[in-house]
Amino acid sequence: MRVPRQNDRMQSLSLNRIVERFERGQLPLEESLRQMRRTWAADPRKAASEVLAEPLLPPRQTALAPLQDLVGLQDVKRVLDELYSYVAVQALRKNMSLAFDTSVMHMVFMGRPGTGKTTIARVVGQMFRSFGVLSSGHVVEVERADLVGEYVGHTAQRTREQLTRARGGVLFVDEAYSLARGGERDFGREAIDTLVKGMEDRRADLVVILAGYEAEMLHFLNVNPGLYSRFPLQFLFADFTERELLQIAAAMLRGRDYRLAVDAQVTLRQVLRRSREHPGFSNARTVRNLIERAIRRHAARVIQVDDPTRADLTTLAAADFHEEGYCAQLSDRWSTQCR
Amino acid sequence: MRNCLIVGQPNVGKTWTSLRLTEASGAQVAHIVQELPGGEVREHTYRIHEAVARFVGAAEHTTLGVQTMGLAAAAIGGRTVLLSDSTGLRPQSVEDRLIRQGMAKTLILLTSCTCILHVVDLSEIEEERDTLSEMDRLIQDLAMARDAPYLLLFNKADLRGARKRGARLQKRMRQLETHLISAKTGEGFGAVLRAVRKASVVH
Repeated sequence: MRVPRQNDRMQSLSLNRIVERFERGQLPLEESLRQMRRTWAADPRKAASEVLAEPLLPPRQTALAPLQDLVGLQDVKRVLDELYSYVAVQALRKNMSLAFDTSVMHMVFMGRPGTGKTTIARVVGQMFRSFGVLSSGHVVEVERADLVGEYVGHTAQRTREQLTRARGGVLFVDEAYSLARGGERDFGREAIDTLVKGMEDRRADLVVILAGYEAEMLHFLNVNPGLYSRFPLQFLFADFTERELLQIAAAMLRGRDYRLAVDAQVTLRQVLRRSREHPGFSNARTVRNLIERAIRRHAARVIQVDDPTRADLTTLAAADFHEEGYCAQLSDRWSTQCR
Repeated sequence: MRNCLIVGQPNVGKTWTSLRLTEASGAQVAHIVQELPGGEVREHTYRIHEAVARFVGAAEHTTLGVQTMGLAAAAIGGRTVLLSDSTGLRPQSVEDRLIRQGMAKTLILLTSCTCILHVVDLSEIEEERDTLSEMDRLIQDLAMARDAPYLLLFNKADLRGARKRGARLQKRMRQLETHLISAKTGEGFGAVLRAVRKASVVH
């Protein structure tokens, strides 16, 4: 007889636990055998703690934690919260080798620029990964130019390449409606077909998200029959309110170690209010541009101060946010040239 | 005490194999202790051919729980060796609670027995791939990781074409101890018994 090793107790503890979970039907046989084998092969002490500690699912708070840090987006948060239960049950089913399907997880994100579509896509990817629904959860961002080719046959190949890149994660198609522009003979049509086909082929390990302006996306879904049913989850990203924009600004400043002088708070609010009415307004992105512009102006101002104090280096003044002449009339794309 | 586990998928011939092995050890009767799921224990004493008729019938038969039988001590160099015939491990998800309990018993024995006899049905091996199924490979992996004596028994060698395939597999798995057997005809059990005896002495 071999001499029992010292860590035999830990080992038998984790083995018992595996067998127990199998017996209760919580673990399929294959997985049980694999885990038992790992318990033997690896350092038993570590394996044991792994098996004992491993929760079946991440708790709701953990899975949805990244959402807590985001300002606004109440509707989106509510739907994702509902989705948690659904995904959790799917993950449990997958764990027990029951039929399971990600094809019902494809989504449409509708909203103006800067409303957090890409950010939420990342959160969704990580959330699905933590459930084991997706294997890696990374986000591949593409737009029309990445999918549509220049000559016959090129498009399908390009689209398939992107699908392969996104395997295990999320394929995020920005301004997806532009795939349908250009009429019948355009290659965009082919890109859509390849995308849909790829979604069905790789249904086990890919989530596709189509994103774009609300009106355009609704039109896009309407003129492409079959898309509605393939993208059952539709999220509307509302524009941020003035209050939320200020919260976003505050969070951005905190992250960069700046703060606002009292008069600067008023000015920022005024500037935001005015630019919200502008058609080129892009929500959080506009806020970021405003703040970055202010930081540059602040730097130009502070460099002239002799021996600046800590307060000098961190405080943004009202003057840093003032609009100069017609700059405010232009979309932020152009306003950068006004510096 | 030596405890050999007979393990494999359902209907590969585990029960018949264990009875054949008992027979080959020179035992006139099989003393069988049945441990049924739920804790009930039954003891039977049969002559081998009676036990075959009783436990192996022509219809698909499912062993529930564990059936333990002893090998004649004389054949194993004076040591007591118990054979544990277990519930088959099936890959499909199992609704039946009793079968799952039986399979859990098998898993426990897999980790505690001193010697593993893994039975594989030659006729079930995929024609083109010519390798073990996923389930059998998992059992094998676990046995290898355990470092207990491990014998791979290719059963049903009497079926058409099986012998040739078995020989091919044996050649491929040269590093393992494999045996070609037929529980139906009794072929190959002398060699298996010798291997079991060797495993019992060394460890």
